[in-house]
This record gives sequence, C-alpha cells and structure tokens, in this order.
Amino acid sequence: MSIDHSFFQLVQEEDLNTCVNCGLCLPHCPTYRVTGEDLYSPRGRINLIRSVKHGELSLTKEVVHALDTCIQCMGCEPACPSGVQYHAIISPAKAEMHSRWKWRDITLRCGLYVVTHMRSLRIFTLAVLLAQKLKMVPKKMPVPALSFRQPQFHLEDEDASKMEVLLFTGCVMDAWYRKVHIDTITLLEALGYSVKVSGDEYGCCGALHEHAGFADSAARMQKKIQRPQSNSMMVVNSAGCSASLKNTFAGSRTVLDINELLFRHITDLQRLLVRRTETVLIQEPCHLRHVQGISREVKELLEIAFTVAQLEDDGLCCGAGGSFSFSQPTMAQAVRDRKIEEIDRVIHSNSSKTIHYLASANPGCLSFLSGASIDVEIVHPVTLLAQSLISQNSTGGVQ
Amino acid sequence: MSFGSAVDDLQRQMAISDAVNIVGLNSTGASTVRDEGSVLKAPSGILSYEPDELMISVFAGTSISDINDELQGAKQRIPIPEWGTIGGAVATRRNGLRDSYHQTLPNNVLRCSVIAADGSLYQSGGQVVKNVSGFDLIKLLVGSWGLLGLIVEVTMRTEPIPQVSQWVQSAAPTAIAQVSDLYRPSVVTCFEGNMYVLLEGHEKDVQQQILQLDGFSLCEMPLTNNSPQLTNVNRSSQGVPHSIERAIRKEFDPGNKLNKSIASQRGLLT
Amino acid sequence: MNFGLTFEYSEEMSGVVHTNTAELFLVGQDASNMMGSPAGVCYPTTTAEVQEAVRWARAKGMTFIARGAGTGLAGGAIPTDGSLVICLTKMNNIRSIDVHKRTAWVEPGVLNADLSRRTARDGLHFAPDPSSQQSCTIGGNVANNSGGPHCLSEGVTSAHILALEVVLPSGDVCILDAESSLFDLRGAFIGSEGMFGIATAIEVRLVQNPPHISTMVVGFASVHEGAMAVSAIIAHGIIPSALEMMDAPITRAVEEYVHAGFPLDAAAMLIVEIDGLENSVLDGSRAVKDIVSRFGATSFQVAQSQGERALIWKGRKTAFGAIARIQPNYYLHDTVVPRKKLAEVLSQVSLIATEEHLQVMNVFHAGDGNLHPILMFDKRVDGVMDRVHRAGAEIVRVSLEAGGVLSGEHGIGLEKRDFMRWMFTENDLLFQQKLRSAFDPEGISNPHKVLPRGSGCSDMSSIPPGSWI
Repeated sequence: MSIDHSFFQLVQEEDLNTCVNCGLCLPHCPTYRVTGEDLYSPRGRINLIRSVKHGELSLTKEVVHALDTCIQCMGCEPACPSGVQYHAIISPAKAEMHSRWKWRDITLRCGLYVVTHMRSLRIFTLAVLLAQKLKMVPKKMPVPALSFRQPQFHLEDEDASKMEVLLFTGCVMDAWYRKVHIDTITLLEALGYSVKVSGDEYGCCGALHEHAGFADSAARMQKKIQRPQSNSMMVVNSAGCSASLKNTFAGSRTVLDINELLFRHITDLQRLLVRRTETVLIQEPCHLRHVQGISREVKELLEIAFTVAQLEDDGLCCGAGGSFSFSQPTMAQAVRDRKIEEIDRVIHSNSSKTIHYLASANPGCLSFLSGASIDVEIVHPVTLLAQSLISQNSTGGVQ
Repeated sequence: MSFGSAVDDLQRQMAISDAVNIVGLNSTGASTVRDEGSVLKAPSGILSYEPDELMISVFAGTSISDINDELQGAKQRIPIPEWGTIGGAVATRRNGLRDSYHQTLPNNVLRCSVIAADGSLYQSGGQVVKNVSGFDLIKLLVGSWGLLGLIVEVTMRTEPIPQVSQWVQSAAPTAIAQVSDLYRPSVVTCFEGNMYVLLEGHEKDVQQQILQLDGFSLCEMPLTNNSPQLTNVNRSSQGVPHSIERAIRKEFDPGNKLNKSIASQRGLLT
Repeated sequence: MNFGLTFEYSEEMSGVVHTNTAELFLVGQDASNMMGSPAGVCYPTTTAEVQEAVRWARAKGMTFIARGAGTGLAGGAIPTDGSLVICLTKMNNIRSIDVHKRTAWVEPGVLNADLSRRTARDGLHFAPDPSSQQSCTIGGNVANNSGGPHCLSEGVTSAHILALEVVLPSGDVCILDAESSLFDLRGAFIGSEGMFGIATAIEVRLVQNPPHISTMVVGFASVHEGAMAVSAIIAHGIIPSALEMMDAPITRAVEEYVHAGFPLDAAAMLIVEIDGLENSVLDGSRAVKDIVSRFGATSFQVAQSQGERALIWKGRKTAFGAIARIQPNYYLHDTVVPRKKLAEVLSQVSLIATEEHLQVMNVFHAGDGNLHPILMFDKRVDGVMDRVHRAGAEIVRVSLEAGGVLSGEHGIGLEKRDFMRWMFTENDLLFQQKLRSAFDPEGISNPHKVLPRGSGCSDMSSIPPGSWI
C-alpha cells in the first residue's frame, strides 16, 4: 500500500511531542473503557495521527475508525500529567478527514442541518411530536417527550437598575428543552437579573458541527452570534454550547455557563431555596467538567436543596457526545451501557439513599440517557433549583 | 562470590556424593528419616548485620535464637519461632503462628545462596529490601524441603521490636467477630477451642485494643506443636502443578541426589 | 466487540485475531521507548479463550505474549519476532469480593485502582499502589511483582496474591495456591514477566484501610540532607507506610500541574506517611519531625485533610508524566541501593548526567532505597540516544557497585536483560533459566525477556528497533 504523506499536516508537532506514551489517560477514555483496545484510546489515537503524519503508517480504515470513534469528551486532558492538548490534535485531524471526504458524512450533515436551523428544526420537531402521539417513535429514540403547547417566555419588563443578562437559547435546547430556559429565567430573575433571550436571531452556536468535525458549517453558524459586550453577560445552560461559545469568543469573560453564574450567587441561593428531602445523583457533562473545569459548582449548588450522590467513574462520558450517538451508535451505546451500570450501582448500593433524580446540565446527555432505561427522573439541575425556590410563584415566568 | 573454605568444602562434597541428606539442628524432626548417603549441614555464623538497614546476612546453619540474640542489641528481631536454624525455617516455610496470610518468611527473605545438586553455587535476590531483578527463586526455595539444593546463606529483613507484645485469649462465641474488627493484629490463631490473638505496637494502642475486646483475657503465647512435618503438609501431589514441580526437580536435581526420602514421599523422584 | 469493521481474519481464529497494521502498530508498544513486531492480537474474554489462543499459537509455531494496559517501562510487554499478543483488557470483571475473609477474585484486566475503589465502602483496599495504578492492570502487577510507595510497609504484590489461575504455555489451566503443590509455584510465577504463562484469574488479599494517617511534606536545603534523613528515620525503628523523595526540578514540574503546595524553594522534599493506630501515628510523626529537623529541614507541612493528602499523592504519582513539560522524551531508570548509600549514589547519578550533558530529575521510593533517576532529552537531537544509553548503563553500574540491584519494581524486560550478568553469575542465571524451562520448556511465552542474550540462558534473540540496549 502506498503511504500518503500529506495527512494531518495541520496537527502541530509540538502538541504530538508532549505525549510520552505513559498510558495514564487510558481509564479516562470512555471508548477504551468499553473496548479495552489501544486503537480506541487517546494514547493510541495520538500515536496513529503522529505516525500517519510522519508517513510511517497509512491511513487505513482502522485508523479512520479509531479517529471517528473518539467522542471528544476530553476526559483525557485533565488526566494527562504532561498537559497534552488533545483537542488540538484530534480536532484538526477529524476536520481534515471530513473536509477530504465530504460525501462520507452526508446523512450526518443533513441531520445536523435539520436540527440546527430553526425553521427545519421546528418542522422536524412537529413531525417527531406527531409520531410520538401516534406512538410511532421507538422508545429508545433520544428525543424527550414533546408537547404541542410549547411553554412561552414571560420576561420581566426591562429595568435599567438591574444587571442585564442574555440567555443564549440555541437550537435543540430551545425546541426540546424550553422548560429549562424558563427555569433558568426564573432563577436569574429571582437573583435580580434582567433577562433577555437570544432567540432565532442567533440560532445555533455550531457546537454540534464543530464537534462532528464540520468546521466550515460551524464557522457559518458562529458568524451570526454577536460577541457579548464587556458590560453584559451571555449565559448558557447547555454545557456543550457554553464550552463552544467560550471557545468562539476566546478571551471573553462574559460568556458564562449557568452553573458558573449561579455559583457566584451561592449565598443568595442559600437564602432563596428550600431544603428538600430528595436525593439527586449528578451525571457530569464532559463539556462542563473536562472542558470547562466546572464540577464542584454543580454539586455545591444542588447541595443547598438536596442530598447529593455522585458517580464513582471520574466523570466518564455517557456516550452522547453531540452527534456522536447518531454517527457511531454502536460505540455510543456501549459507552452508555457502562454509564448505566455505574448509575445502577449507585442506585442499588446499600449505603446510598433512594435516588430521586439524575441531574445533567447538557441536553445531549439528557436526551441520550433518556433513551436508556433508568429508574429515575432525568432532569437539568437548573430545573431542580428553580423548583426549589421559596418564592417561585411571585417571580413569574412559570406556568 | 565466595563464602570461604567451609562452603567450598560443602560444594566439593555435594559434587562427589550420589545421595545427600540435608540437616540442620534436627529440632523439628523433619530430617529424621534418613537415607544412605552423605549428611550435609550448612555452616553457622553471622556474616553481616546492619541495624540501620534492617537487614542481616547469616550462614544458613545459624540458629534463630542466636540471630535474635544478635538483633536484640539494636532492638530488632526476625519474627519467626526460635527453633532450629534459619536454613531449616526457610526450607520448611516455618512461619510459626504468624498465619500464612502474613507470609512472614517468603516476604522477608531477601537473598539466598544455595549449593545445587551438582555442587555449583547459585544465588537469588540481593542485599536490598526491594528487588525484582530476574525470576524469584527465593519464593521457590522457601518451603522446598531441601529438594532444590542446600541453602548455605540467607539474608533476612529484620524488624524493630514493637514497644509492646501482648497475647490475649477467649473462648467466647463473639471472639471471631470482635477480632475481625481489630486493626491488623499480628497473629490470630485458634487452638483447642480458644482464640488467641497477638497484639503488638504502641503501648497505648495495645491497651486501647484490649479494652475494646470483650471476654478476652491476657495470656502467654500458646504452646502449640506446629513444628513442620512433611506428613502434615497438606499439599497436592497430583495435577498440573505437580507436574511443574516434577519438572523443576528434574531441572534442579536431575540425578535425584537431594533428600531422596522426602522427594519420594512427595512424588518428586524423577 | 466488533464495531462494524471488517478485520483481516486468519482462517482458524476467524474474527478473533486482528492483524491490521494500525492495531499491530499500537500493541507493539508500551510505555517504554521500544517498538515490537507482533503478528496478531486477540482479546479473549474468558479463561477458555485464553487457552484457545495459546493452543492456537502453539499449533501455528508462534510465540505469544500477554498484554495488560501497556504501562510497563522496561519493555516487558513488547512483542518480539511475530508473537501473538493476547491482550487481557477485556477480562476485567471483579469475580467476587469476600469482605469477611478480605479477599477478592479478579480477572487480570481489572485496573488496580478500580479494585480499591470498589472495596472502599468496606474499608478495604488492594495494597500495591504503583504510580500507574489508575491505568495498570492487576495482571500486569502480578507479572512484574509491582511495588509502589506504600510497599515500604505493606510489601510488594507477591505479598498480596493468594492464588492464581494460570494458562500454561502447554495450554493447560491450573490453580497455583498454597495447597496445589509443595513448592510455592504461586510465588515463583509472580514477577515472571509473562514468561511462565498467563494469569487468567487472581485471588488478592485486601487490607484494612488505616484508621489514622499522617502525611508530611518536608523540604530540605540539599538532596544529601534529605537522603540522610531517610536513613535516620528507618534507623530509628520507624517504618513509615511510605517515604518518598522528589528533587527540586521534578517538584517544580509537578507543582505546576497539581498545585499541591510543595516547597518550591527546597532542593529536595520528602513525603513521609505514617499510618496505623492513633498513638503509633502520633508518636511516629513526632519522631519524624524531630529527625528531619536534625537534618536541617527547611519546611514541614502536614496534610490537614483527605483532600490535601490526595493532592500530595496525585503530585507524586503523576510525576513521570509531568516531565513532558520540560523535555519531550525521558528515560526512567529503576535501581535499588542500600539506604545508607542513597546520598552517595544520587550525587554520582547527577555527575553522570552532567558528563553526558543530560538533564536528570529524581522522584523515588527513598524508604526502600529504590531510585528512579529520570534522564530527559529530545530524541530528535543528533546523537542524544547514545548519550542516554551510556548514562543509563553508568547509573546501573554505580548502583550495583554500591551493593544494589538492577530493578526494584519495573522489572528487567528487554531494557535490562543484558545487564543481568552485571548482577548474576552464569550459574545464577542458569538456575533462573531452569525455573523458566519447568514452566515453559519451549520458551514460547514472552520470549527474549529477562535472561541475557548470548548464553544458554536466553531465548534465540532478535532485538526490536528503538530498544535501549
């Protein structure tokens, strides 16, 4: 087989060199965890990219598959003592494969187009909704139960004395998880913010495209979004989107994940929330924990109102990974099965109390986990916090 | 390396003998069944002792009580029963009451020098406390009953003598549950319906542990007759592991020279 | 698990033995700098499948090699001349845990840290804690008789393995335990670096978590004073549960990553941990404090919480990886010297590195005298490899001259097999070979490792490219 020397030239030699092959990343990689094969590990993938780039190995179907099956959860990055910037290696490699073989991912591209453009998404959502009502949708399809009556935003009137915050509503999050937006507004208004919503004007943030390796489409999406001014805040309640927007507006300190913002007000929330009896198990989205380094914030916020239980898997990915569960369903489901085993272990362990909720701050995880059979209600942490507000009714916005 | 003329002589005798019986102080009776042939015994004496390294090298024929006398001065010990020689203890894996769980002997022998059946000298291990250089012949030699050679030198890890060592006993039915709650007692053993526990360590810790126990009384070390007898060694003489043992014997003593009667009892004549 | 790929199947083991270049390329490597030449790789999930793979390799006239997570540093898992790699990572079930007897049966692919994590609720853990414990497999621990910081008081892997189920090179399966034979075949098998067969199930001892722990971080103005303090602590009759040293360059590299509050102004730091019952911990830590101050300690901190302790250990255990922040390549050595020789050998090591114009850092198990000098380099620099090889050999030589041994925990593998003669006589090696022959008369299980080339002892030899010797 002739070896093509022209691959992965965009991957920087310096990034590849930081990896010393020690293998400390292995257990933090969900695809290595379920396969036990070096091919599906961060160390393996780095090694493959390096060797293909150096012309020592040809880009065989196995190499392509190894790269395609990376969920890009970035669980390996915080685990790496050498500080390998894995995203700087895998992202250009994936993007290159997609740009070289455009036709290969045509279904995925079409799918992503549909769910990230507001008009087509609404039509698609309606179709799914009808199908759900007619019980024609397989239970396992990772779409939450939809309703004809989409809850509406009821925003407080503008008040110049209040700090303004823009809620980034996004695409799927808005069409399928509008309730989480409304809960977010409720909380923010209770904390004295004046909230605006980004709506269709901004549309999708392009995180799904970027994550899938479609850099061109992602760039198009990102162009529609205005860089937040230094005196205003953009708050995002989808971990995947907040991670992506922080990257788009690199250096901007005004893009915040909702958990980050709420955590700043933890003492106010201690006053505003009622203590409840239920126990919440946290599933940490990769883009929150590994990419943004937000972990204890969610736990401490939920602990104001709930008893909190945690998984013992170092924040291993659930397999959703943006569009990963569509493009690599076999691997995604294997990863999810493992996650469910971990969840079940906590639910059924003698030492923990009954688990009432599973909280995850990302729509991808929420919907993908909903597609599996878990005995607990799966919710966004914001919803749990909003439900626990003492003065929930007086703040308006909730139907 | 050389251990001097005594060992050189033993090597020569080993080389010219057709049958060899290895003996120590004959304190355990393990070597009472004798065959025809020469009787070889390892020399005795302390080769080197470095208290600060917690390590002692001795000829294998040195009695354990002599070793402990030497160690006493630096408040150290080797925690195995004071019968017979160190070579005998190693060859018969005599842990004493420290249960097999702690495996005191195999884990504390750091080096062994052995005269092989052909009279050559081989060594395994080293004079350091941690060592994974090469295959572990020491584990094989501990409990090998002289079937793989005459052990002439042993380097042992020593340990500081604990501030307090106290035996307690109980016949109460709750004894087992109570003892399993204790933090790492040195010895737990059952003998004639009584449970015996050896608690060692800081004086106050041992006192607290004793207070924590209910229905136990202080006692002396139980006098059990646990001297190792080959006939008591409840180990299989069949199956795949046994065939590996036979293969090892064949490699180490192809002429069936060493401790024939023991070898034959264990089905290890090849 | 087949993820929709079509592999190039061999006839008999259709779909079982993978032979594509990408996979072979990856399983040809471990955490050392060597590159092997495997002919195929398979991932058995049961003992019977391991047995089948071994028999298949035999029938084909192939050699075979067991592989765990590939975190070994001595090249023990590097497949030589066309071995079948039998990768055990899919055999990762904890078969049973007996909380009362404090034992567990695990499969070889179970990760070391996963077992302790699972038994934490019952107040138990698996004592061997190599620095790679989050990634390395228990099967690999058995093969290498792994150590770790806490082996100072707990003993190495072999002290914690009660029984093994093994597939022998003949293809037979048997249990090796205290009852199965007169000779301690279990003990002989542990540390045999995969050359006696493949462990397919392992009965481990679990030990009680200590009720009290005191973890101290002590800074010193010189490596020499730190090393003297180590000797003095042990000589005082204190056996800490762990006694580790890090020199200034590695402390700085690690601190940048973990932020554990290590003393950045110290030339060397010790991590001293004492555990056990309350009063022994109290008295022991007090004595340690006295001793280190006698040796001119410049700082003394005690971990105030479990979180602080965890951070200290994270810093210690991920130290090797943090080196890439300084140079892209490293060669991590592993020798043992008598404790009293620590200071002397460390200064010799530093001289050797200076002579070869290499940077060296030290992070090691001082309490055991187990040195881990790390030579750092960029292999793209011309001629650097020769210098690294020379320095490595010199470090081995000075360690042996000080009365030490070749390896404390990484094993011999390919890396040090040709140094074996520096430590052992031909006759010593012959008897090691005899033991191997009893388990593996044809020499088909992980050939070419441990025993040196060029004598009756070694397997017929071909050395993989990139190897050290």
